[in-house]
Amino acid sequence: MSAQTASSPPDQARWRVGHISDPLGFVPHDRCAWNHRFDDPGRRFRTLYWALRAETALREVLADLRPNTAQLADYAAVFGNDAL
Amino acid sequence: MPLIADDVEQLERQAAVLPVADVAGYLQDALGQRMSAYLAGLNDTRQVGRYRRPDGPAPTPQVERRLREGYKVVHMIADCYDEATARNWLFGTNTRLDDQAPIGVLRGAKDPEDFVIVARAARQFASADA
Repeated sequence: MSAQTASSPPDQARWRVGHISDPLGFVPHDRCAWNHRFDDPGRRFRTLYWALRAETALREVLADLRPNTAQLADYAAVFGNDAL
Repeated sequence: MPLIADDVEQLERQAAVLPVADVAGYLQDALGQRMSAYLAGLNDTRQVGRYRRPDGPAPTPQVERRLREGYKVVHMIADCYDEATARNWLFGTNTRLDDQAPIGVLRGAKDPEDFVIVARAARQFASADA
């Protein structure tokens, strides 16, 4: 099965941020979240996610650090705005 | 330094066997009094400081579980990055938790599965696995 798609030429670079020990390898089974867009619902096949731009790959990894404003609002409601 | 399986095993052991006073002390130093109280589901900021005292009161089993799981995830991230990153991660919009913040899941955690998903998300973040 070919990995290329109609919208991305095969000679175009792809970017991925991965563990230095095996940056292009699959995530170990026990660490797969199985809740990303193209993950296998049957949890048999693992998916490698790539980006056409380095910035996109970095943003994907850093996405978990986007402040959750609802949680911060709840925190401020409990301990006051000076807790933020 | 990325997290490896041996680190996780050691952290799980520590989180399970350390006296709760040490667990509370670590969280209070790493997160501050208010954030550690919030993580544990408490509304009294001074309560974690009381748990920290060797002769202090014992937390309820539910609060103790949250403190021990919090110890584990904060350690995982702080050891790989730093404590500031751990604090930001706790309040982050986490795609692995259906866009909930990890600290919110821990604060309201009652079922073992709640703790499992937060620990897994921390491990993934600390291992830099997308």
